[in-house]
Amino acid sequence: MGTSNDHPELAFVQASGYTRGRADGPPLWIVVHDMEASEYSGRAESTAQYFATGAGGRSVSSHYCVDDDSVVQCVDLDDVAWTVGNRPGNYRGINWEFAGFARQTFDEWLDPFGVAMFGQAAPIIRSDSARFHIPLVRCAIADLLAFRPGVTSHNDLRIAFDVTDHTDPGGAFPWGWFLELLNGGGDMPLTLDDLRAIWTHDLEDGPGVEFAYKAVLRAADGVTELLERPAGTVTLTPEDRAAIVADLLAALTPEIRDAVADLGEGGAAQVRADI
Amino acid sequence: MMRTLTIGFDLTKSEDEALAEALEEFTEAARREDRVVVGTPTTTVVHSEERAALGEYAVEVTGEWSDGDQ
Repeated sequence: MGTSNDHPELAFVQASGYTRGRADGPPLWIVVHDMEASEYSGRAESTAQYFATGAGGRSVSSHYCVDDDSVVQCVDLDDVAWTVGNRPGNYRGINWEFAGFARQTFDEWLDPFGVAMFGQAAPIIRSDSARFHIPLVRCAIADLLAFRPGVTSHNDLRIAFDVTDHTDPGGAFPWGWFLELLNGGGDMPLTLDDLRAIWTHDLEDGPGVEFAYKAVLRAADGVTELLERPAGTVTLTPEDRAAIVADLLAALTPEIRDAVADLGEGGAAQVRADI
Repeated sequence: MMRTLTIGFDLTKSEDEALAEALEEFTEAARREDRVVVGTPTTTVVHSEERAALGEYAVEVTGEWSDGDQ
């Protein structure tokens, strides 16, 4: 077993099938798959071995395999894993194989094994998110079609780009819990400081003003969604939301802030309509 | 131990380049697992419907890796 180039703390087992380089550009999406295999503590290693040997004559792979006590990397992040079944998903994805089945219930995903497994994955995902400027928000299908970055699933990439018939990780995957974990951990809500750090970090090297403006609005939407979700938590008023947007804008670099202002009301309305 | 890697390349890349890069990858993969390539690997260019649908073809490299801790 070797050592990951991307994360020296991880074991690396080279998958037997993958594509060299990323001809279509850097990764855009963190993609959730399930292994369609039972939960046990050797599952990351056994799945990595399956990818390494091409068992059953199938050359398939993923970047990471994870179980409750380990993550094994199988394909360098500079290379393309053979997992989604369509070119956008393969070429632009960082693909994760989680132990479990698409048929699992919400509670089964969040059993002690699942919670430990997500805890193994979270720091690696956060690190890759920062490296490739991938926001830790779930993409809508429209986001995928527009090649906007974020977190997604094999199923959503199927809906967006067709070809495959896979529907993992299934309808009961705990997306809210998972994204909350990625964005700060466990039961803690995403804070404004977290958002500011995420978005300013992204935007400094981001692909443009329109993206910057959308990012700010998305961040505000993310706050709204998080705070509205469980009973007993705060719901943002329109004034609160406006204040958050203003605060986030203030945290942007002056160049981006000026350029966003130059969009004017019409431009801003168009960007809102496009989201 | 015998290992086979099937490495994809974009259709725009020439087969000569792909073959050379595939051999480099095979050697690098062995090194990553603390092994070395023993003898001369064989290479085969593979064009398949599955890979063509993704805009790529593959080079299959098969050869022997040492037993580790080299």
